[in-house]
Amino acid sequence: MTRQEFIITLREGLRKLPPEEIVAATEFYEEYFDEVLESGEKTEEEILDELGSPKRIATQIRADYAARLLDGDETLLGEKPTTKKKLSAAWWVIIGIVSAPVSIPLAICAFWVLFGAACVVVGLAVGIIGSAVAGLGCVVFGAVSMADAVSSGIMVTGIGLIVLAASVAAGAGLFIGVRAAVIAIAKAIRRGREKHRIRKLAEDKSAREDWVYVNRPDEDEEAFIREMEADAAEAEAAIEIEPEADQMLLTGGEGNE
Amino acid sequence: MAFKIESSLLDACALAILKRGDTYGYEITQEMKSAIVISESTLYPVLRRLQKEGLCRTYDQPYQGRNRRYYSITEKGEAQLLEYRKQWNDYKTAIEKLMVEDERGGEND
Repeated sequence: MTRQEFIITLREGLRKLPPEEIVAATEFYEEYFDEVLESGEKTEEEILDELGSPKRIATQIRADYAARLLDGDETLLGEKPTTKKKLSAAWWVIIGIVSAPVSIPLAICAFWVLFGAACVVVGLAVGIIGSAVAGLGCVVFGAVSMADAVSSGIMVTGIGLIVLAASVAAGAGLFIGVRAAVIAIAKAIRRGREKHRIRKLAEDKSAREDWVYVNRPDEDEEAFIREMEADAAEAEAAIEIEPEADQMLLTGGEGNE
Repeated sequence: MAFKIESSLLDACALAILKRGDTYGYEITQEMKSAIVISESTLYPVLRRLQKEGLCRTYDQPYQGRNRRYYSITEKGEAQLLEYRKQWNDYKTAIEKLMVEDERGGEND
C-alpha cells in the first residue's frame, strides 16, 4: 500500500460522514505523513506499517463521531427535554389506527395471494404425479399389449416413457423453484430481523444513557445515528478483540514463566 | 501494558500537553507515546473530540510550503483539565489505597 492508497481507503471508509469530517481526517493524516517524513525518522512504508489498516482507522473515527453526536445532543438537552422518541412511538400507533382500513385488507390480500401460490404449487405437484402415474400406466399397458399388436404396443410404451420423463423433469423443476422461493423468503425475513435487532440495540443503548432525541427534525438523521451507533458497537467489538498484546502479556506472565 | 487506557484519560493527557503550549499533531503524538503505549491512530479522534467540544481550537501556520495545524487549549479546556486533574487525583488515591495497602496489610498481620 502507498500513502495515496491509504488516504483513498480512509476517505472511502468515512464517506458517510459530513464532508468537513472527511476533510479534517484527511488533512490530519496527510500532515502526519509530512511531519514524520520530514523528521527523517521513518520511511513511508514504516509509517504505513505503524498506522495499520486505514479501514480500521475509519471505523474508529466513525465510532467516535457517533459517540460525539450522542454527547452533543446530551449537552443540547438542558432546558426542555422533548420526548420525540416517545412521540414517534405514539405516532406509530396513530398511523396504525388511521391506516387500518387500508392495511387490514392489504394483509388479507397478501394472505390470499400466498394461499393461492400454495394452491398452485400443490396443484402442479398433483398434476405432475398424475401424469407420472399415467406415463407408467402407458408403459405397462404397452408392454402387455405388445404380445397382441407389436407396433402399437411399442408406440404406447414410447409415449408412456416420454410422459414419465417429462413429469420427472417438471417435478424436479417445481422442487427447485419452491426451494429457491423458500430460501429467498427466509433470507428476507432474516435480513429484516437483523435490521430490527440493530435498531433495537441502538435504542436500548440510548435509553440506557438517558438520552433523548432533541432538535432532530430529520428522520434521515435519526436513521443515520442508528447506523452510526451500530458502527460504534461494531468498532467496540473490534477493539475488544484487538488487544492481543495485553492478553499475551497477561497469559505470558501467568502461564509460561 | 496490562491496563486499557480509557478515552477520557486520553482526553485529559492531551489537554495536559496542550496546557504547556500550542503544538501540532505529530508532536502531541510523540509526547503521548513518550509516556504511554498508544497506537499511532488513537490520537486523531481524541483531538477531534476536544476540538468539537470546544476544549481546544486549531489554527494553521505555513511551514515548509505546507500548512501545519496547531492545537491550542481554550478556557473551557483549561477548566476541564482542572476537573480532570482533580478526578485523576481522587482516582489515583483510591486505586493506590487498594493496591498498596494490600501489601502493608500482609506485613501487619
